[in-house]
Amino acid sequence: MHRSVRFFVAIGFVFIVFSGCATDRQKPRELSVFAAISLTDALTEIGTTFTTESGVRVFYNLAASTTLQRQIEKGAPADVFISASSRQVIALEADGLLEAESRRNLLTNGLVVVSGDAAEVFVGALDTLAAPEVSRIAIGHPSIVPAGAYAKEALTHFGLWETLNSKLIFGTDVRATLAYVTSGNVDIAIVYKTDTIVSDAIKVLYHIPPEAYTPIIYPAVIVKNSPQKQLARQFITFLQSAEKREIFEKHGFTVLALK
Amino acid sequence: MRITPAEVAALSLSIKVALLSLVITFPLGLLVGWLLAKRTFTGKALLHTFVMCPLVLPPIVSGYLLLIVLGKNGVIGGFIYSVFQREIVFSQFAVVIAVSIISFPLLVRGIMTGMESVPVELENAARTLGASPFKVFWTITFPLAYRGVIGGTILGFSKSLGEFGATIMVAGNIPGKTQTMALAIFSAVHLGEDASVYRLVLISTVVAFVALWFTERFTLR
Amino acid sequence: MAGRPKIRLNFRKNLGDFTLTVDSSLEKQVSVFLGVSGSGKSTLLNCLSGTLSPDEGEILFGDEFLYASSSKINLPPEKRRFGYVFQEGYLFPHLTVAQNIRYGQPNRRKSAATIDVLEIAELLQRYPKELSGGQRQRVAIARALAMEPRMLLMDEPLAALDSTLKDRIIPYLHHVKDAFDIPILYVTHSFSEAMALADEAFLIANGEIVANGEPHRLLTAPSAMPIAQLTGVENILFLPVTLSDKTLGVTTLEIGEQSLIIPYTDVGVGEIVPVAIRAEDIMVSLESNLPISARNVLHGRIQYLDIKSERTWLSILVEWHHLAVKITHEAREQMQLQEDLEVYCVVKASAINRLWD
Repeated sequence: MHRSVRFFVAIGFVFIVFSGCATDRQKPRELSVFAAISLTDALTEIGTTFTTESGVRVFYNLAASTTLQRQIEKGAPADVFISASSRQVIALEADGLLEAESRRNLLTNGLVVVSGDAAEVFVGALDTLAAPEVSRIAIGHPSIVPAGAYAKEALTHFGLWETLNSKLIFGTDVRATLAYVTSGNVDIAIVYKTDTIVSDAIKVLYHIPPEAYTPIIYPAVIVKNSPQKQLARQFITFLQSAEKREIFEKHGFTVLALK
Repeated sequence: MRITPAEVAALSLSIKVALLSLVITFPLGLLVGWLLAKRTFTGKALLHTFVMCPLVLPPIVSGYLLLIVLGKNGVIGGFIYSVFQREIVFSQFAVVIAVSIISFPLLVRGIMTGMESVPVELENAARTLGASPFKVFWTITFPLAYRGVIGGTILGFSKSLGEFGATIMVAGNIPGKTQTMALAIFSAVHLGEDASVYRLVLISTVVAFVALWFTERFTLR
Repeated sequence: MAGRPKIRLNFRKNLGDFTLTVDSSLEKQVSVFLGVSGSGKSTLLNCLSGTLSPDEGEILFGDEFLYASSSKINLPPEKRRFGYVFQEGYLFPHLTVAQNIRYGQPNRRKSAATIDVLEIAELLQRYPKELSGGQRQRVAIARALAMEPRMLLMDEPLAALDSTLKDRIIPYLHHVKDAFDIPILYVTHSFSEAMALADEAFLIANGEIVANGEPHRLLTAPSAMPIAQLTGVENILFLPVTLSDKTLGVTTLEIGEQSLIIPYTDVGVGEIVPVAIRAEDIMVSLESNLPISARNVLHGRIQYLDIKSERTWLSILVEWHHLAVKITHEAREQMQLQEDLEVYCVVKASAINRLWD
């Protein structure tokens, strides 16, 4: 009769307008790839070329590797899993949820020491961090953030974990860790090399030698209950092809295995 | 400022999902709100707690529980898969379910508060004037609970637009398929794409503002 | 008036530690239930309207069962067709007066009569919040009548109004009574409303009907014992007002040739007011012109003495009213009180309480 009716007419109208826009059930071939969110930009670029070459649309589910691991455990419809660490892949393989023989170690990442771009700190080796000019160092929380765990390993390797302990600030993820540095609240952060690519506000001071920590591996693997394993295999091979190296390297990764 | 097609897709998905969720939850919310505000029955406290649960649980936990129930190995998901050969999780439908469950308590709260404010004596007066309980609901309770109903609807709708935790768990973060505004913002933050973050935040603020303005303009005289 | 159905009430309703028990028949057109608040009047009405269910018993309208616990009959309110007028009106705030009246109306054309009788034609387009208290109650009555009820239930419809407004609404109620030949159950705590409207009066206290009968006989008889029982007060008088002065703070009542001063109460001159005086609040004197502050010194004659174990009870005839007075044996002996002795009853104005209103 009055206001209430107008409200629902209005809602209904908007609904009709929007519901016309999208129906997601046409049937070209699709590939579902669960990938660590740090790979977003590189994979989006590669996905587009894969689609033009093969006619298969690639859908990425992009989240933290641990989230993806939980989803696959609960029977999520994934064809390919690309994790930011071997750990999730090994766990899922143990549960028999992956095609273990299909695993390819695709990429590797490195740890770097960074500062804000205005900072005047020289780091020649990790032990310079003990100098009094460096008052605070940010790393990811070692038990939550993989990058933090690697950073702890590296510091321990050089016998600096105990010494630097009082200077350490723990970020809840890599972004937060970096934000401490870019906002000028912390002098130094230890993060993945790939995290430094997009930001102009930070300066890479030092590449930590790879022997100081477990190799940071990004494996790609086919999911056991994928209905289209042939296509999944084709996609993993595609990722490893020579011309993809450039794309990954543009985003800071090192490509491990080339076909 | 240039908006990318992916951002447009995320925006329209968010709006579509929020509206669809509203269409689904609104009638149910009216029923549950009315039951909780106006009826006494055994198990009322239980129903209330159950409905309000997503309000206190971290959304990612709600999402995880949904994933367990709706996944191919879950009770409901397994049943639907065996009958229709369709999976619920990681689809737009899953986004709608996640968003509905998270926004439902806010909607019900508003409706409940609105209906509680309608004196039972007015409803009784209408009954003595020959109105059936159904007519009393539509001619007395509902119009007088109007403000609460609108409040709950706006809150629920806004929550739907911004829902993140449960969505990423049960529907994934699939650009072009299940990536809503909130998930797009999450991705952009994670990848350090600040320009995109600012753009998306600005757009969602504008959308929320327009939604509020729209309801104000068309409902509150 | 012969065709008017008889209403039979015989039920029990428990609410916490309060129990309402009724076993009465309503045979006259207007039955007034008189009682203080908490006596069970509203519970009675709600059981009748169907918004509350009795615990057991039966309610009969003519030969139709509205409620019967034995055969599990309980007609919902919307099927009873009883117009209900509430103390607070309960007009629907989101509807205009016209929409309120139309709400329960089966036949749109007939409302003209109600609107005329209650003189609300010019209010039809207003919303309830734009009405005065008196207008609101008239609309509430019109709304209840427009549904063409088989019976009218009125729950203190005038209680929220001041006495001048009341006086203006009562004539409307008489119009209603004459224009619609349906039974009316009227609940009130106001003696004057009961006197003005009742064909039969029921006194209700603590969930029970303590007396019923023709209103004048029941309510104004000198030995209105049921009312005394009801209030725990020995002396109840019904006296007309001769003067009421707000600035002086007193109201003067007429008791035969003499007058009784009570604290100011909002009543018009000529109206009859029920007042209560406890037996121990009356002092007895042998002289009239004592230098005391008590305002009321009434001349009377001792009718009889009743010597009980603790106290002496006197019955003193003042004009044609019997006053029960309680004194000590010592006082009786010292003053040599005996039957037929002329005495003066001394009462402080503040010891006299107006009943109900």
